Amino acid sequence: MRAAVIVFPGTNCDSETYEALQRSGFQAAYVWHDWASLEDYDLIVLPGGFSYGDYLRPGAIARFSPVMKAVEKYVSDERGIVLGICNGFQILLEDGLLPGAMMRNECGHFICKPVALKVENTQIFAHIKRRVILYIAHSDGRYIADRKTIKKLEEHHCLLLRYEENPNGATDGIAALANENFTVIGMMPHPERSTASYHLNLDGLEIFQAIRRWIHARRS
Amino acid sequence: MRYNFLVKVKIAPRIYDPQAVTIEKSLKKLSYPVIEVRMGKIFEIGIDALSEEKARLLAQEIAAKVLSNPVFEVYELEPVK
Amino acid sequence: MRGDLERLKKLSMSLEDYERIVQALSREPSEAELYIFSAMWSEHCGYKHSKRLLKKHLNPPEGNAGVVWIDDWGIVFKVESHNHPCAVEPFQGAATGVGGIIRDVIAMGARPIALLDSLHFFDPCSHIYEGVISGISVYGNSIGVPTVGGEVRLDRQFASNPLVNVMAVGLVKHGQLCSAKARGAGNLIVLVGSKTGRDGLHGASFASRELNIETDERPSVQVGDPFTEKKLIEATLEISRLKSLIAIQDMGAAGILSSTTEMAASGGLGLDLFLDQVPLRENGMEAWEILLSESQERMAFVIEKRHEEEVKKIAEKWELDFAKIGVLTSKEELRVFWRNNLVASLPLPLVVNAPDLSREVKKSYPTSSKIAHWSGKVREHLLALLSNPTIASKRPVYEKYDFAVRGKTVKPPGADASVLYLEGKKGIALTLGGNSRYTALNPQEGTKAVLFEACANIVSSGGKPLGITNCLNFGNPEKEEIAAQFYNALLGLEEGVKILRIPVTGGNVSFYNESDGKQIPPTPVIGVVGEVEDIEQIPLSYFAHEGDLIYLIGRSSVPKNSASYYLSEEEPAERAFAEVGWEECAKTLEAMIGLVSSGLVVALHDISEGGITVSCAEMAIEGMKGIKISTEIHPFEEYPARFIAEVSPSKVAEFERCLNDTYIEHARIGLIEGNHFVWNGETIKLPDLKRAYHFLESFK
Repeated sequence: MRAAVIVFPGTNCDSETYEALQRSGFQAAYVWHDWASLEDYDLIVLPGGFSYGDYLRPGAIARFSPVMKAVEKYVSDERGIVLGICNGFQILLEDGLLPGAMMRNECGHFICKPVALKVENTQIFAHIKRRVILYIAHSDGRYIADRKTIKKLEEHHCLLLRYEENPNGATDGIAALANENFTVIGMMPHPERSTASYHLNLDGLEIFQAIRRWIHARRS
Repeated sequence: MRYNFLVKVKIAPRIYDPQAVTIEKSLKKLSYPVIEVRMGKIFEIGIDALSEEKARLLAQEIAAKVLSNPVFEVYELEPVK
Repeated sequence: MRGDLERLKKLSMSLEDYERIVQALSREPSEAELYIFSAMWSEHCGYKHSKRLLKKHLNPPEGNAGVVWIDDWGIVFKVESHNHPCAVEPFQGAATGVGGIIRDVIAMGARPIALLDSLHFFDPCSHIYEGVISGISVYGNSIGVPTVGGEVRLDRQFASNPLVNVMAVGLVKHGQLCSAKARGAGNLIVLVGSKTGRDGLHGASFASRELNIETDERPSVQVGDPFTEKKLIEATLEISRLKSLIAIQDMGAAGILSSTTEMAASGGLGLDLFLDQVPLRENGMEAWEILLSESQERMAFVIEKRHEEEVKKIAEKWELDFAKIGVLTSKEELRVFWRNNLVASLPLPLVVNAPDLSREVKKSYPTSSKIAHWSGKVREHLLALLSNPTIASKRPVYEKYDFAVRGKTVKPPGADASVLYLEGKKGIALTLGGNSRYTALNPQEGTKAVLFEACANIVSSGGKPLGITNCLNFGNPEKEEIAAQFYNALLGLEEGVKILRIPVTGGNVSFYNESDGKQIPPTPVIGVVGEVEDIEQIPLSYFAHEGDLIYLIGRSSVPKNSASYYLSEEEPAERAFAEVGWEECAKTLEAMIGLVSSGLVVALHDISEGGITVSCAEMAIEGMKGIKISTEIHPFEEYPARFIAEVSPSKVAEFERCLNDTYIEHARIGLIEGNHFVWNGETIKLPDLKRAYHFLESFK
């Protein structure tokens, strides 16, 4: 299974995301932000970081990169799964591939710490633990969307992870969600920081492996 | 020719803005008769266009598509001499 | 240009220096030349009061940063101060401080992998405190380098003179280490990075005199751009791998001038600079402004002639400015060209070798071997110590830093040294600290204590110290008392590293940390890099298992140290530092390394401020475990190379045998039991301790 890790100017978490994917059984490769087309990848990952310095708004400039046109087509052609982690999630939101937006944390500053997350009952994560602990590290993790959107996400079981103790004021404690087809996933916590034996835990590995199984299931 | 515009981007009124609320509280505590505080950003953009109308349309597009995120922000556009 | 005193004062140049220049040149210097000397002969660039002494007593190797080796990997590291800019504009001062030290690391061809910062303030509610922490957070997080450690100390003496020392660590493969040494007349000097503006002008000379808030014109604040820095990091690392790359230098204090002259001088060459080639972001800049500008996020490279396209391509990929700004020459001269004029022509050795003003001022500071005793309860003092802002948990601070980015953080901040993963089973342990209470009382012994404390932190995290960096923060060296502090601190550091047999790989000196007559205490800050042989053998830093035994390792009965935290502000007449058996302490550290690698210790924490009660309390709070201690050892006294260890009953016999074999003093003081903190029969509730220790949470 092949996974692409897209690198924008200012992306920081590319190397550990690459390593995490390799550990999870993917053959990973880096893709530069101004490549206009994507090869045959089963999974496209937009990693964390500060693309364009988070200037203007996190992800607001990166969404106009040439590669995002290719990602949009990848999604509409249903060629595979797209996963946005932290800044990656913010880019997908700004690009409209996922509904809603991220605002500044309610406390007004950056937070880095491991947090407990409730794993909602969804097709993708049906077979992993019900509670995971992952790192969050962001200043703009407050997810907002209007009530209509939230209702729709709930009805279609698109909400994937919720914070047990809301650290940033995100609406309904939403930490990760997917589109209705479950082909685009956005996640504020960092699964890639929980995949090695020397990491906090291996909860992130479970998440990547679940995504791999999901890709497999969709193929057949 | 250069045409200048002021784009004011504010957090939409219906959205809870903790920074603005904190500032509002602090000002009230200092006994200023403040009723409300909203926060945002100001952009001054100079556009090169053939006419003022063309420039205004471009400024509007820039404000709506790039400078503001309609999910939680609203914008105002003003031409500037 | 005449030696107009007013003019010289504005440039922070002494009449003596001016006369030296005139004598050396056999003429008056031109305007640009005068500015060149005002910057290069400033304390900040010229190290007039320290260079000779540093070379004599520490003799660190030349280079942008120091390096130690773990197998095939070079760990590049250095600590630098940014005190004066932070006093003026805390946020940008701290941000650009991070930027600058990162560039010193990439100049060695090393990828930045960690940051640590030692911060000294007075008031946790102040603009300075918030601004500095925010600046480090925003800049460090944006460039994706984890801030994994450091300290925050609060003391009245830093109220007007904050200290902000930032340490950066980088990783480079054997054979890829770069230097700043230029070679080959005719080779090119190029600039990559941001455009040049008027940032920080007069900055170098600004940091070389005391701040007088009333009368000083504020210099242009240097503004940091972390996005450009991130791109610059990537571009510099790519350029560093080019075959045509000869030397790299960061543009820091006195920007283009100091970076290019240092590269040329270190290679015994000269240089021609063409200022018209420098990409500018402001109009009407004068030659001296371009030369001295401290605009951030710029690097200088020496590359083989005719190979500039390779570098230009990389700069363009990363959307950075590129310019050929100079060429190396065989004559040891600095020539500056601007608008078709030769505006400066100076002998290069004269420019880069500022006059030596350092002096050896010997002074003896008292020590005492009078044993300290304690009787009575510990509760009141313990709670006061735990909630002392210097000792209290800094979690609200380090949670603002991304300490896990890059996915290599094995032991996060919170206790002792942090550890990053390296390769195989190995890790890198890192720590940075400076206890100004110790060094204020006795610069010589105090500095040794700071060094030993840093090494103890490394050992507690399963590491073996490999190398040392230092940032020496002092007041005005022209004053006799300060010169004495500096000299004696240096002697202390020299003695300490000799006893420990660990090299000093580099460092930084910051003088003139004084304002309006108020001076800082002497504050040497020391950073240590250690090798962790097996990351799975890193002891816990908190009590883990009910029933396990608790030991003190190191000296039990210790002399009174007037700088210990538990002693009140107003001290009796005879203030003295403890008389310390340094050789014995070194042996204790050595023994601990062995004990850890033998897996005999479940948890380990070094004893520092607040003595054994504070260390035990920290371990009990973090592990949420009750303990029962029974000991006559002084509950609060501070002495180097002491540890609290948790040992499983099944390993106790072997543990004690190892310590007896090496004649290391140790004592079993209690065990992990129950739900409360019990000290010689006095019961204190854990939630009370926790509340005191985490009191800074309310200052978020």
